[in-house]
Amino acid sequence: MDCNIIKDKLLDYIDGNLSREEATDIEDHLIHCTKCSEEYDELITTIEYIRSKSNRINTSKELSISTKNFTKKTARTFTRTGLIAVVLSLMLVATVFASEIFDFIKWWKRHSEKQTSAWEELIENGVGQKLDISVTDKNIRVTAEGVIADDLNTIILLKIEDLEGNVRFVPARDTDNHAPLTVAGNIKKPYEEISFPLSANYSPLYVEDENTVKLMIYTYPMDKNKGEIEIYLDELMSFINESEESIVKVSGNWNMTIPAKKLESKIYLVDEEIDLKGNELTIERITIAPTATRIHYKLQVYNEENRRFIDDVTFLIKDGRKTYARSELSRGGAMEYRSFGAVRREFDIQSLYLKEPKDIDLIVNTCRYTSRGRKKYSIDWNNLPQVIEYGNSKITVEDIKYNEDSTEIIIREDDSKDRQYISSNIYLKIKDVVKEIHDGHEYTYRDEYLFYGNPIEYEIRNSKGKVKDGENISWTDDMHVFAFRQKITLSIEDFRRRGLSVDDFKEYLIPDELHIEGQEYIEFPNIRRNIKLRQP
Amino acid sequence: MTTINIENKRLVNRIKKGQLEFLLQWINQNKDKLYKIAWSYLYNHADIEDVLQDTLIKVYENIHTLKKPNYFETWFISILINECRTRLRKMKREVLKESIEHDGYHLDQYSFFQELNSIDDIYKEVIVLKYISGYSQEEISSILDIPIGTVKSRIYRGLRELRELVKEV
Repeated sequence: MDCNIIKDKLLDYIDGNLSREEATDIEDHLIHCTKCSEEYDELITTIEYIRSKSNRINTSKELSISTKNFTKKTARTFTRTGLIAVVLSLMLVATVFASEIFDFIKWWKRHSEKQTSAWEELIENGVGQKLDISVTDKNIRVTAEGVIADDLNTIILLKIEDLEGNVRFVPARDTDNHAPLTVAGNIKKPYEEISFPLSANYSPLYVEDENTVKLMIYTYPMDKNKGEIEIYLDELMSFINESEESIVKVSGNWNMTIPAKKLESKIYLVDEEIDLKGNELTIERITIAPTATRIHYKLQVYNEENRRFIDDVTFLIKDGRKTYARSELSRGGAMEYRSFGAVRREFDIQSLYLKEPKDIDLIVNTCRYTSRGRKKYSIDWNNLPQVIEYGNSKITVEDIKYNEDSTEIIIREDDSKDRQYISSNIYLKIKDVVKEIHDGHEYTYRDEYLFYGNPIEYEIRNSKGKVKDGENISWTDDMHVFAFRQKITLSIEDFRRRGLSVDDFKEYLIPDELHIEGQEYIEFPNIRRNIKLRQP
Repeated sequence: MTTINIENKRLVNRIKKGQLEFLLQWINQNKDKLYKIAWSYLYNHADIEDVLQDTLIKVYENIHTLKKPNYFETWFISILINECRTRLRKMKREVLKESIEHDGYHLDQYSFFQELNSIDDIYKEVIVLKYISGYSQEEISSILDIPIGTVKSRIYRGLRELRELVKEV
């Protein structure tokens, strides 16, 4: 056999991928050919070398990746429109019941007004493009009414009309393998090497007519200055329903292609350093675009001295009497997360595009941070209440209740008047040992499951204090949940849902040590800086 | 084989429902493999942790675009590698060195890391996936989105380049 053919097959031979005959051929050749057998030996040595070295990589260090902080962070970093979209999509899931429809519509209307007027102000001033492109299928007409594309976002306004009935239709919910509304064409996700099909964020906007919904779609910037955006929409569902059963779904084809032009934004280089009680915040750049004013900043997230870890910073801009807050027309900028060092982030404020300001007053509005430090407590569960100390706060483990298939633990946060933190991160840990058999080998994994406390008694507060109940709450960045009592629940249902391995969950219902890992704070620094805008 | 398919499908569905603790569990189960891949790019624990955290977010955000649950693992790895590359680009060499010294890691480990990284990235990648994390040629082809023939030739070339280094040692 030719040496080149052998070389070609050596790797497969080493892997054991060859048929018996092929393997025998190779073995025969290796006995007779010194060159190939040297090659083979060297390959084996190298592979062994890599394997033995790599086995010594210490992979046993604990990974602190969290889903809790992650979900919390994303929830927090949603733009206000994002938040509304989330609330609205929750509504989709929960469905609006007949008795709540009136209140819901009132609330929906108020939220829609902000986005609608921000959109209209731009369109009326000739920013963005008005369109009138429609597709009708199944007696439902979908019209693209306009598009505003800039360096930060692409926003499309769609109108969905039910031509035969009086149903307000929105895109159906995403399912496992189907996203009813997607966008393509000259829309590209920035900084990505792998491109994913883009499902679009949207919020349904209220319109007086009972058969109509307007849909504001938020997606990524275009990759060209002039191009086309493809919109794919193939399933709709009724937006307001009395129950899960009464949801109406319609499949059809409302795909369309719309032309779009990307508007230029103005970029200003700034180098403004702000001291956030020891954490350095640098405003690096400000982009003024039609859909938003973007603040590009660098933030030192962790301060070793005071052990503060900053989760989130928000800004406002003041121009004369007017205050500009979070943009309703932006899907939000990039957020970089690290557990130490500095991160680069972006924050989007309402547009100043039409104002063309020479300077702005930038205000650091809120700063949310978590104190670091993990502490374990042995609790005598038969002898409650028990007071434990974390930093300067006294936290009370008040009560434990054992039910048939769950255990509930009630914890009272520090109740002194001058308490600063808004809630403590309290949890119980369950160590689960999993034995699995693969290919005749038994593997043992140790999994840790954390069960966090949730506030059961709390107040919603803003920078001025308690937000009155029953008021139509319009969410602002300074709002936060101030917890009085938390509850940790261990339940068999939850163990099952989270896939703990053992059959007998009962032993896990008896809690072990209690952990506290940091407390959350919010501050309103109200630091104001006048920033001159000079183009580079 | 079928059980694995069902497992993947269940995992993907759970991630879609936002039950991220299952994804975390999966990451922990495959920690050894995943850690070593990230290690070969970043070397230090803190960055590996960060990259895995970022990957988790990306996976969650894009899970609905994964059409075939069976490819979950290779899809996950391709995102992980992409994240490693991105982070490495952002990182300056000095920073990398600094954290290495700070970490007080075993010198022997560092020299292995240097050896791996002295060969071209395209060869390093396949070597790491194949001999350190134990993926088959087919899987590597799917992770890196390159033909099997290319996988094979890159492994071969990578081994030969490493062999030269090992010989010098």
